[in-house]
Amino acid sequence: MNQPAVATEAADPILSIQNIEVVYNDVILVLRGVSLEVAEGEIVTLLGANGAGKTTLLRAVTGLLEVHRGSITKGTVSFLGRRTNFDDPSRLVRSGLAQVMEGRRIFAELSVEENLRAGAYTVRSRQAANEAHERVISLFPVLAERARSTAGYLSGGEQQMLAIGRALMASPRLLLLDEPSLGLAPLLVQQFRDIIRDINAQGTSVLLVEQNATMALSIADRAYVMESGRIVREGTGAELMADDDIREFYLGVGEAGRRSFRDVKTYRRRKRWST
Amino acid sequence: MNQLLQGLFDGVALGAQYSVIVVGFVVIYRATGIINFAQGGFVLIGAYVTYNISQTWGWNFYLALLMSMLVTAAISIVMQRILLQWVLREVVGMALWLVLWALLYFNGWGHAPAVAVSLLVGLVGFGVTRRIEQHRGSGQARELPIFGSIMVTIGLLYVIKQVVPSIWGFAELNMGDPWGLNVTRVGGLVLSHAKLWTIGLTVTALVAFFAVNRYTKIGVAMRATHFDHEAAVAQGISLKVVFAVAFGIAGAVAALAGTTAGAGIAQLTTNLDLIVFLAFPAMILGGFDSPGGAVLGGIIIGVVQNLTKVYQPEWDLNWLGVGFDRVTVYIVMLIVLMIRPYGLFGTREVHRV
Ligand SMILES: Nc1ncnc2c1ncn2[C@@H]1O[C@H](COP(=O)(O)OP(=O)(O)OP(=O)(O)O)[C@@H](O)[C@H]1O
Ligand SMILES: [Mg+2]
Repeated sequence: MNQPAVATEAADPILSIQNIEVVYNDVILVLRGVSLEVAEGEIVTLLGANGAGKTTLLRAVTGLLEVHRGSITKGTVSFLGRRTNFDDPSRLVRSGLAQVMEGRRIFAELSVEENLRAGAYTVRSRQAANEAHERVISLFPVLAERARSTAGYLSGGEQQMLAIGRALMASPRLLLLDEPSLGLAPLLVQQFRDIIRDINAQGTSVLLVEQNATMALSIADRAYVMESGRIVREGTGAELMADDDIREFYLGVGEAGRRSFRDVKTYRRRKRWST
Repeated sequence: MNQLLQGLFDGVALGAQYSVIVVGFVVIYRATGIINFAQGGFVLIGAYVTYNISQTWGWNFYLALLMSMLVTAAISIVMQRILLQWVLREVVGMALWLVLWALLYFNGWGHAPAVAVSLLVGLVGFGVTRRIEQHRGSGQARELPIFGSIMVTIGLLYVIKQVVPSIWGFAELNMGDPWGLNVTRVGGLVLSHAKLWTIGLTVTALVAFFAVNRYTKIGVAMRATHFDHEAAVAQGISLKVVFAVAFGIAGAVAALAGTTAGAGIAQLTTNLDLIVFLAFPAMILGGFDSPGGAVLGGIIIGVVQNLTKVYQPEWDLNWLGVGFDRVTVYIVMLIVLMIRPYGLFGTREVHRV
């Protein structure tokens, strides 16, 4: 089991991304020199419009770029002080990195319990797996009630709980969340915000990718804004919350008559889901 | 009535052999998304290894069968590692391997040395490209390339079909099974021991497989990988392990099928791999990606084939030809596909993204 992160050396980042470039299919340059850090115990959020490269950044961290024929062509990613550019995903998970992928990606044909077991794949000791399981259940009691149901029959909110619970089964030091509020009712979004805060309070650092900037900035210690593969803003949650551009484009409280990014987002979303 | 029952019994015994072969196909298909055309080769290897252990070394037959399943599983895993994980990914290594093999073979080398030497050189070529590839990820998260793997597994089948006779010769061999021509008579039925054991061993193997697939960690991992390979990788599930287990299972069941098919009245010949051609329709019938469908498809094909054999002379249909039982199998498959295009248990989308 991993030690809860008592921020002993807050200066030492748990995740450090230095100036990376990511290319898909050897030609499509998507990240153009991105640097980002997550310190132990922090909640860091990464904001950005569709196609900015947020998911790509997470893939660069988790080793999933390979699945998409992408690669890091420049810069370094280090996790827990170790350079991990070429690590395979299973090694990264074992060393304490877990993720909730965009769109939940639960194993819909498997039962809820089996999904959780899949999340604990890298956990060798049965005792550690049981402890993680208990923690997940105390966070999401509904997963115990529905343990034997086929995961695909859960509601959207329950599926998101399962996706987060599955990731937590590996007892990660750092949890990456890719748009967890996607497709959830406002009330549920609040609930998930609190859950993310709880998870963090229990000692897991969090890197939260979001389009719901209001939600994300309200719990983030620090935030980055990404645009076309570059970080264009960075600061504390409060700083960005007060920033005029951010307010206009991400919080939808800009001057009347100007189109907010949110409108663009809904349109693009539909298109993506239908393909 | 007796004739029908007899036909059914013999058909189920035959179908049991198809079933395990199809389970081998399905397991690999589910894990990797490819069809392993070399499966027939592993049936052959399994049968000859059992023969070798039981007849040449004089071991107990059942022990020989068990050993053969392990050995064939190991060969299957190693082949998968070499051909599908390494060589396929490293074009240079594969090209070297093929070119050199052809050169040696057509210059009068035997098959075994030609394969061995060219494989070695191919591996060196692989090592070199591997250095270059190092910068581009570990190769562990990627799926197998579909087209390349078809070529490679077919190639492997041909290599195995050459290597096996070069070791054991072309002559018909006796497997050394304790069943021979023994039969038990029940009512008017003649139950051959070889067939009874075939059914028994197959059921045991299938129960073991389904238990693993359902209840163990690796079983969950294999099903998760089948459902969403990227999400499985994201949980830290190692495709390397999942692929290896799938090929191991396929190798083991191939050895079981080969051994039971070459035992009893049948003799062991180098054409044993042809049994796979009747396992294909069984796989399509069952729906490609369902292990349960595989078993049912295999049994149906076996029964249909055997009943054709029984009733063809009876109903004066001999003019349809000697091998007509193999044709009915395909006819049944076509009919089922017309009604259910995805087979009996297949999931709709056969292609994964
Ligand atoms: N597998 C891929 N191959 C080629 N290009 C890709 C691939 N995946 C993403 N891209 C491109 O990279 C860019 C960034 O995509 P990415 O998914 O990282 O954005 P995102 O910020 O996560 O967007 P969203 O909010 O819609 O999830 C996009 O232009 C996209 O078209
Ligand atoms: Mg994204």
